[in-house]
Amino acid sequence: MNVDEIRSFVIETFLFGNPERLTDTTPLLESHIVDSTGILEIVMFLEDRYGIRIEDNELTPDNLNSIERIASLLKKKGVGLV
Amino acid sequence: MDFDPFLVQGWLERSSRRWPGKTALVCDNRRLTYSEIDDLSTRLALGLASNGVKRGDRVVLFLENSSESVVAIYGIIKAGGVFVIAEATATASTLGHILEDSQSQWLITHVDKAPIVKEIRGGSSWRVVWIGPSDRIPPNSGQALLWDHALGHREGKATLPRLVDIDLAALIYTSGSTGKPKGIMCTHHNIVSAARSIIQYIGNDENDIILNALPLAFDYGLYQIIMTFMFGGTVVLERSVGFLEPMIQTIERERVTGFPLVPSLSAMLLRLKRLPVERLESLRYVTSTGAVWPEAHIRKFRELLPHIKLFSMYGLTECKRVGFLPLELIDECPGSVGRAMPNCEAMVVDGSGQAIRPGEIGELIVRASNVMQGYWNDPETTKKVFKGGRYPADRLLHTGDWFRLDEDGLLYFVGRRDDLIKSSARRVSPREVEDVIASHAGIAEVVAIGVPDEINGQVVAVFVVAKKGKNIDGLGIKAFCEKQLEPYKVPRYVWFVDSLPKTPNGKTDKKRLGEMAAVNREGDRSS
Repeated sequence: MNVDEIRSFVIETFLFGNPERLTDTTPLLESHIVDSTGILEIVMFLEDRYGIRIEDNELTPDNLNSIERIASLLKKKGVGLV
Repeated sequence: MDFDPFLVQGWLERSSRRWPGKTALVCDNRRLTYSEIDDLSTRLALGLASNGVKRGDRVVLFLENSSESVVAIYGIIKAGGVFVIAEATATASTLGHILEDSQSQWLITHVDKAPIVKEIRGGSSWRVVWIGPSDRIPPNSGQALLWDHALGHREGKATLPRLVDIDLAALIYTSGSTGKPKGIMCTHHNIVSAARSIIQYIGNDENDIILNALPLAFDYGLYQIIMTFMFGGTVVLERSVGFLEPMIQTIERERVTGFPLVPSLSAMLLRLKRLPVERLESLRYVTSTGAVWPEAHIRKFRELLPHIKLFSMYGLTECKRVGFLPLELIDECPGSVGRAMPNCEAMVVDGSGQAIRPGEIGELIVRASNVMQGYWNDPETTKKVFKGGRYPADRLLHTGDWFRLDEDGLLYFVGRRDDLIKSSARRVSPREVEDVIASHAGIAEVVAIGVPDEINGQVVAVFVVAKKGKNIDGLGIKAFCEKQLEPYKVPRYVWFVDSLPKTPNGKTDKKRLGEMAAVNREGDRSS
C-alpha cells in the first residue's frame, strides 16, 4: 500500500485533481471534501484495492476521517506501507 | 382554554411553559432544555432588534447544523424577521446569490466560514453576526456583531414586534428547473399547518426522540426541529449523516424513537454488512421522503425491522408535504406514496384540468393551507406554479410532478414535467449546471441530465462539445464546477461528444442522451 495511492484517489474522486485543500490530517467530512456517500466510496475502494474487509463497526471517524487515519487502519489490517 | 399558538415560536414558548426543564435539543455534546432555548432565542431576538432588525427583514444563516442554528431560527422569527438558511456546503457564488436575491441585510455565520464570506464581502452592505472566537473574525468585517454580545440582551430598549400568522417566517431556497435557486415564501400559518398535519399522521407526542442528521437548509431537516418543539419531544441534531457507526451509537444512547431518512441514507444502511437490528430496538418509526423510496428498500426494512412503522412520504418544498402511504398498505403497495395527508387535498388532472381516471397519468395539483406563498422576487414563475382558485385564498399548486392513480385512489409517482434532477433527495437544476459549464472558455455546448445511481437516486451527467483546438478533460470540467457549485451539483460523469443529438424541431434530444448515457456507463463498468 502506498499512502500516495489513497491520497490520489481522494484528490481525483472528490477534489477533481486539485490537491490544495487536502493534507494528510484534513478531516474529510468536516471540510466537506467528502460526504457520507463519499465515505462509502472510499470504503469500497479500499476493500477492492487491498482485498480487505472493513467491518460495519469500523465505519468511524477515528478510522476513516483523514488520509493519515485511513493509512493507519490499513496498517492495522496488515496492508504493508510502501 | 389553552388555544393552539398561531406562530412557529409560539409553540416553542408553549412547550417551554409545559416542560421547562425537559431536554429539547441534543447537539454538539450539549443538552439544551426548552426554557434554555426559549431564553437564548429571546435574547438573540432582542439583540437583533436593538441592532435594527425589523419585522419582515430577511436574515441569512450560513452554519453547520448546530445548537446556534436552532437558536438563530427562533431568535430571528421572535424579532419579526424571516430566516433564510443557506446550505453549509454553499459556494461563495450560491451564498452571494441568496443574500442578494433575498435582499438580506444580515448574515449569521461561524468564523470557520470566513473564507467564503470574505469572497463575496466586496462593497456589500449586509452585517454579520459572527459565532466563534472573536480573534478569528476577519479584519474589514464592517459593523460586525458577536454572537455572544447579541445574546447579551436580557432586556433593553428594544421591544419585539407583534406578529400575525400571515407574516413570513422563512424563505426556503431550492432549485427550480430554470437557473439559480429560488426562495419559497413560507408564512407562520403555512409552516404550522404543514407541521400539524405531519405530526397528526405520524402520531408524535412528547415521548418521541428524533434523530435528525439532515441539513436544516432542507425543509425535511428543518421541520424535524419545528415539529419536535411543537409536540414537546427531544431532537438529537447531528452535524450531517457522516459515519454510520457513531450514528447507530447515538440511536442506542439516546433511545431514539423517530428516524427521518432519505433514500440515499436508507441505501447506505442497507449496504452495511449486517444491519444491527438489536441496536435499533428503541425506534418506533422511520420516515422517508425527498425522492421515491425504492420498493426494495421498503421490503428489506420490513423484513429486518418488522416492528417499526415505515412512513413512505411525498412532498415538495412549495407545499412541504402532500401525502404518505398508510401503514396498513406498506406491504401491499410499497410503490405508492399513498394519499393526501390530513387537511391537504391532492388532485391529479389532465391537460384541460379534468380529474384523470385510474390508470391514466396527469399532473398533481395541491390545495391546502400548507401551500406556500410563491417564489420571493419572482412573480412570473409564481403565477405559473401557484395558480388562483375560486377565491383569493384558494390557490392551486401545480407541482410539475406526473402521477397515476390506482382504483383505490392511491398515488404513484411517474416523473417530472421538466428536467429537474433529484440527487440525494436534493433538487438540481440542469440549467444551473449548464450555465456554469457554458461559461468555461473551452466549451461550445453543454447539456446536463440526471442518470440513475444506486445510492443517490440520480447523479448529474453532462455531455459537452469542446471548442475546436481547446484541450480540456473531464477532470478539468469537474474542477471548474467545484468552485461554483455545491458538491451534489458537480457532474459525476462528463462525456465529450462531437455534437449533441437534436430532435426534428431542433431541440436537444434528451431522451437520446439518456440512452447514450446508459451505453457510456456500461462501457465504463466493463472497461
